[in-house]
Amino acid sequence: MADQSNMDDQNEWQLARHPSGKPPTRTMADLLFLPETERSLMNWLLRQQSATLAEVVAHLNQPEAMARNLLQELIDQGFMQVVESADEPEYRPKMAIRKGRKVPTNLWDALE
Amino acid sequence: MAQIISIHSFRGGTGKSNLTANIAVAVASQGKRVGIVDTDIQSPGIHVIFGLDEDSFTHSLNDYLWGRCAIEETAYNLTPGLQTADGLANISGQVFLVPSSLKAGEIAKVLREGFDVGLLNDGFQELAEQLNLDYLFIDTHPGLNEETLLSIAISDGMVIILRPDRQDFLGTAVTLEVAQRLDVPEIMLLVNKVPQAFKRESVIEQVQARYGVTVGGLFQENEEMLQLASSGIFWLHYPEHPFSQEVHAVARQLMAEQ
Ligand SMILES: Nc1ncnc2c1ncn2[C@@H]1O[C@H](COP(=O)(O)OP(=O)(O)OP(=O)(O)O)[C@@H](O)[C@H]1O
Ligand SMILES: [Mg+2]
Repeated sequence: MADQSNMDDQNEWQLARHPSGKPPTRTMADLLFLPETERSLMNWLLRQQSATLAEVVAHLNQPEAMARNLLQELIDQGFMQVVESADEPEYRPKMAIRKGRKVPTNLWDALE
Repeated sequence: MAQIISIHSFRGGTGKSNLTANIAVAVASQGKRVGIVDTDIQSPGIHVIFGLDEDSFTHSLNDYLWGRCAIEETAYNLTPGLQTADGLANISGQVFLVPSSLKAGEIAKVLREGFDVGLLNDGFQELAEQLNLDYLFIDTHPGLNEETLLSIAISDGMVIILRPDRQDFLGTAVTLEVAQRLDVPEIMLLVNKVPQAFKRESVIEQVQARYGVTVGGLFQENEEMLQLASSGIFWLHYPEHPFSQEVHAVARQLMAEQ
């Protein structure tokens, strides 16, 4: 396996900070540009589908405040959503609806 | 819990669909319940290898993505129809396939409107649960796109197929870098379409040295495969062929990994 720390130094993987306001719509490709900690939490959550705060804290093995901050940051950036379930709120990745490709409408109409 | 294994290659035509079908049936022949999802929505086709034609299935992955049906309604049990060279095969496990539609309008609709990637993730998990699968194989579109990235991200194991070709070599490095960023726990390389004249050991050594990842199998380019032309599961037709032996060796490694 290649050295992970090495890859994070490459500026091709720098994600531009989004100016404050409405979080942008995120796709799977955006996830690749997250820094290591955020990215690995997202990767884990994608496999889990969703998790409670307690589960995230246990996974990160970090203080609750830190987990909260990390989750909030991911929500602000548009990567995560909170889903209210029966007992406890669940954190869930919010991978966007993939954008359709821009092709002149008449071309699509011809195909349907 | 089902093991999710996605099959990728950076470039097209490496043999992903044929190897996925062969390996999946080999795993099923060991008594396992195996699912295959064709996420190559833009250029689907693995169902053809199983002899399933567009008229013989009423639902496809496309219908699930459009909310027209539940994911388990798009799965077809292929086990009873598996063919050897001289009749029906009889394997101890089960193979299910979720095909993608080969209708031009359906493909165009996906390209035009996009779809919810999260829905695909939920679909994989739901399918594994509903069908009580041991393994779920994901056949993909070559290169990197949203559904491929998702399938890599949620895999327990990933198989990357390459040919001994310079463009494949460079592209595989890209796929590997992405897989590492998505924390894929197990990665295996398969080298396919190796010319008969190449020395097996030296190709394996070269590839392993280059990427630092295990080569799980090497498959020679062969005439029988060309003749079968994606009209069946190769190892069921040629059980003694070296290609078939290698398929089983890869299946054993995948089953040992969990
Ligand atoms: N070892 C081999 N020897 C000879 N022919 C092979 C071999 N492996 C695959 N093929 C042939 O190569 C062609 C492409 O195979 P396949 O469709 O499985 O590739 P793929 O990677 O899924 O392609 P795509 O990228 O278009 O999805 C098929 O005609 C298949 O029969
Ligand atoms: Mg294919």
